[in-house]
Amino acid sequence: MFFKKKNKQKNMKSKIKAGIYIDSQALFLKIVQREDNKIKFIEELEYPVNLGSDTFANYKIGFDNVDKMLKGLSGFIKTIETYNINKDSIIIVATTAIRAAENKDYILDQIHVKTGLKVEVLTDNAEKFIIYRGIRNKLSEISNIDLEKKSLLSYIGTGRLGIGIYENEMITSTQNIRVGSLKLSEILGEIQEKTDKFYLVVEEYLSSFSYMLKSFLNKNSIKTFIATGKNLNLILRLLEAKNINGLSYISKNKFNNFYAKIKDKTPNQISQIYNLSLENSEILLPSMAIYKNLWSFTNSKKMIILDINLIDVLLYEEVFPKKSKLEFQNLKASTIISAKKVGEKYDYNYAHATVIEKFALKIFDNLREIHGLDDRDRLLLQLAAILHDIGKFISLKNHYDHSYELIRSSHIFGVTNKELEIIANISKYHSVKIPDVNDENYKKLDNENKILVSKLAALLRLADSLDRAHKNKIKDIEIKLKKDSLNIIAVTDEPIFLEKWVFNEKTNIFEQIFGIKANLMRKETR
Amino acid sequence: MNLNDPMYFLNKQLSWVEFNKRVLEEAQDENTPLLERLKFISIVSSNFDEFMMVRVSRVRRAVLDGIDKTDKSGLRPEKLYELLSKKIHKLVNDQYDTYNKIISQLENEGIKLIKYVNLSKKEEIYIKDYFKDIIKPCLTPMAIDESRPFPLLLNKSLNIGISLESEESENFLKNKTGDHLFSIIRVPSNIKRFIKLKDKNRYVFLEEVIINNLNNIFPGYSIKSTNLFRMTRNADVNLNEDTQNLLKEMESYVKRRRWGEPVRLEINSDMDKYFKKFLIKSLDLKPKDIYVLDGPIDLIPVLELTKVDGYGPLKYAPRVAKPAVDFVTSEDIFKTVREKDCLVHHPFESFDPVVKIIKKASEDPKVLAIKQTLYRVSGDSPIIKALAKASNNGKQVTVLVELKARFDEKNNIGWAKKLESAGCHVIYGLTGLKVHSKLLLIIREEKDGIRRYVHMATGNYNDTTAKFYTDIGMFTAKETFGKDVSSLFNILTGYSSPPVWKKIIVAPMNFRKKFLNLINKEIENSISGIPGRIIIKCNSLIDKKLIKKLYEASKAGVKIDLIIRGICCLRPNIKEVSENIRVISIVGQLLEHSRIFYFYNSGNPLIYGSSADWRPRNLDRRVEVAFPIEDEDLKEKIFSILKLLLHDNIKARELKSDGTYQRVKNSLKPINSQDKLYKKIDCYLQKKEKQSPNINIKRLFKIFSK
Repeated sequence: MFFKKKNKQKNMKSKIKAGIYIDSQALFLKIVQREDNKIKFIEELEYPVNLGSDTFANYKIGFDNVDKMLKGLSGFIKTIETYNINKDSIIIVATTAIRAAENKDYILDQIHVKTGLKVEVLTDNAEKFIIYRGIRNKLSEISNIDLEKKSLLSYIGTGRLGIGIYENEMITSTQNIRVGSLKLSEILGEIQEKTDKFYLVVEEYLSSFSYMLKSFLNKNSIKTFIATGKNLNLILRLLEAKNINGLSYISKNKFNNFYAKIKDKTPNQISQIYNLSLENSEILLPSMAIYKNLWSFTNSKKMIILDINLIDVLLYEEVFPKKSKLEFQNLKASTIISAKKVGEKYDYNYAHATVIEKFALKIFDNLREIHGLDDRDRLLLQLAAILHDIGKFISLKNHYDHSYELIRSSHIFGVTNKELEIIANISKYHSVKIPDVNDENYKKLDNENKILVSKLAALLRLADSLDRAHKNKIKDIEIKLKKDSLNIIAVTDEPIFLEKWVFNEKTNIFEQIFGIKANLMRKETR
Repeated sequence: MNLNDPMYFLNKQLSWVEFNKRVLEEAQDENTPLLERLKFISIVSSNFDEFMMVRVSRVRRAVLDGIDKTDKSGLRPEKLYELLSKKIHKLVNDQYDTYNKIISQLENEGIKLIKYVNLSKKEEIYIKDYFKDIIKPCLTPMAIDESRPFPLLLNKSLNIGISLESEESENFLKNKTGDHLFSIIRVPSNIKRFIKLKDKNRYVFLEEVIINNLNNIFPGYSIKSTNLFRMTRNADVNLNEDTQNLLKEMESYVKRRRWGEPVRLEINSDMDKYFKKFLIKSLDLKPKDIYVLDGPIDLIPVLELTKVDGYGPLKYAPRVAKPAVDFVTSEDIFKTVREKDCLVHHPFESFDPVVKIIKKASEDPKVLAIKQTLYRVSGDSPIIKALAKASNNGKQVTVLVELKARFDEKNNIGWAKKLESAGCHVIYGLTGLKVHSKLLLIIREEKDGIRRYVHMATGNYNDTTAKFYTDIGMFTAKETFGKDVSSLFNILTGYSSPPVWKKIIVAPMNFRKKFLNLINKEIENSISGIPGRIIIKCNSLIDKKLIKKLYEASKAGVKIDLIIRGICCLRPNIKEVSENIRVISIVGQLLEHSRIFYFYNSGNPLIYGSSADWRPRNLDRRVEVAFPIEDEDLKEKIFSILKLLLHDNIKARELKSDGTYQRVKNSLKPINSQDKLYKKIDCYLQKKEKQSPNINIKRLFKIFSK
């Protein structure tokens, strides 16, 4: 569901879809159907289970909550059965609360045994990516925001904060920070009831993150502040924010005034004054503090609030498969731009990266029948081609090792941590080193990905050798795949002795993996 | 000005007694047909029974427990108990006066209650056989004396206390004190109270037959006196909801309730003074709890007499519900509802569409699921049958059964089990909350996707009471309502927490707050020069917060009409507090039951139908729904109903500021709103006929009334 659409048994007759989201504080069930060009929500259920406080406080989910969750899920199933929805077509995802629980596997097994549901636990990146997809969908529907200008996107999950820059209808860069409202109140919660100056503690704690944000944000002059996250609904309600054309706005003054009013109150007081549950009261101050902090990095006078729900996005994509496919294409562009931003950060050789990207993809496309890889793998190759040399920013010596380290600690929009690891590995093996099971980085990969890295590294090595001199000598290549050999014909008017020499050096892995010989030939442009 | 001042609130128990007084007035009204007057006599009694068992018991308990807190109206339990007792005693005396008058008038009409001594020889032989064959096997005499525990007498049972004297000098049955020997015989409740003699419409009381045939039952003893008495117990016991099996607990609760402490004793004036002393001591009763009646004890069974065949002129002219206007031309009920919201006003319009839509749904292959709340249903309910059938047909049927519907629990347990065995998913509501809302949801998979049909009503899904309770019900296929009602069911089944409601207002979540806001809006309007207008129709108005808000509205110049059948704690016509509030109560042939709330809203009226009265128990401890009526035609229909009720000058009484009621008297054309409403339906039907000439409504109507 994340990228590779699983081949689910499709309930062709029914246009009705169900999605369950196991969130940190509640389980959600949505049942939707397509109505013309819109998605219609038939049922929306919320079953409160505070899994997050278990996970963040004790690192595992307690028996009581597991039980409660199972009860909630079986109620959901009863509701789903009302609509004759095939059980196998239910989308069911979980995030931080399950992801970070030490007893995750046990819980997933319990769910499977007791309810027959197979929960997909989303990685943090996947979760953010879904939210960004939702943001893009929403923004593309809305025309009244001046999107030419740079906008700061923010998404507070209960466990992590995601921020991104949105410009020219693209999400150009993203950053993850390990702080979320619930997490914050778990970390600092004990202090919360003991002091009425808790806000000082929170602000101080956040200022350490601000330092990180500065390097990410200060270059950008950001005009719009777009926020999304579950806690915002609470803030919206309390501030009685106006909703215009499906968007809600909060002015900075209003926000700050309200913050000033609650900042020295304990959760108990907040709960009494505003008639909130204690859980909500506990996260109110931390989440407002986070938004306040982010706001200070923009020139925006108002915060635009988008109501994006993870499961809504997944259901939307399920209901509109064609539209979403197109959208994924668009998002791929964002991913590539985001990778190039990383490249820029490390002063990469744009011309070299671009030509290698071109050659690598050309080779990939012509060798589909022998490598058997899919479009997602192609994107990984493309990203590796863009970033393979960034290690040179640190030192030319063993630059591939540095590339590996830099890539795996970067953020590329729309790329999961696992995929980032693959890109880093490909880059490590683009030069002199060859994949070796004794390398820690390679050992970590599972078997499938070991092969994937080897294959893609082999292709990247071929491509990279074609611009050995970094002089852009070869304008284009032609590829001829024969039964037992691959002929790459370089179109150039210059001599390519160096390239040929390097090519022959680097082709060894290729030959080992694919079992055919690769030859480089030359052809005049004319 | 302090609106919390107790002087601004009428006491709810006393107000209830006023209500029962109005019911008695219907029995006293010479314009009411004679047998119907007798029926009202019966209703007064059964009303009192329930009131004694719950409300009076609670006050009495408070007195015994030494609670000395004032209530909202400023009364302490002791004082309240005194006032209540005085008022009830007076009312009961009036009731017996009226009863005796009615009986003597009935005699003139040929319906006679014969004293045993006046039976003809032939009749006496017949009765003696009847006694031997039918009555005697049901009798169980219990000997009592001061040395053994007083027997457990069943709540509300009629008993004969017999003072015996031994014919021999020594007998083991003899009382230790030697003076008095008593026995108690319960008058069997499974035998008709009025035994019909062979000749037409002559009756003799069951207890008289027993009393006059006791000789054979106590051989060796002579009967000194026979004393009829009836005892009522406190039925206000607690239900333990925190249990795994509510159905089981409810069964035991019903049993437990039978054995609360005695709170009332009804006797006749000729009771043997020793027996009386003994009885009062044994039952631990105070003089205030003793009711000395001038006539037969327990008048509820006189209802049997009203069912006598013939005597048309002594009864209300038979009323047949008219076909429901909105469905009269309907061929496909789902289509009709899909096209336009429909509203049905019972009992003027038939209850059929409700039964029909459930029946249809149970057979319709497109229907996926049916969900319904059931509170009180009729004995042989077609709705229960249809739900069971739907379940057999593979539909998912979810029924929320409220077991806690007071004094109906036993009945409810019965059909809850029936539904369960038919495979329905039966749920018993939420702990601590009684589900009082009346909702039906039908989920249908149509060509263009899921569509939900909703019925929301002010009265129960009970085809029997729908014949004499006034209620409204609205059918809609609007998505917003479908979603709200689905969500409510998800809460009731425990699958979800409450959402933000789109249309409906739900107690205990946002009901009171919402209506306080709606009143506030009228206040704001009135202050800024726009006329403010509120009409509230419900069965009782007790909630202090809402009453205070209505006072504020009155002070701000909002014109308020309240149509409150029963208890009303709001005191009208207080200078500078409630001058703009008029309160009327309509008590007549039909039981006013619909709850309708109207707000002028500067010319764009907001109208709600609801299952809830404005009393704390409804708003805080029950799940109740108020639904907006949005369709302009339907709004107009409701408004015209309200207008008619407000102009009633036959059955309407107006509440005075001292808490008493007076019949509305004016020189306008007499209007009996309940009569008028039947006629109104005819007008609607004729109009409909004009609109769709292809349909011969008269013919339809004929088919219908068969």
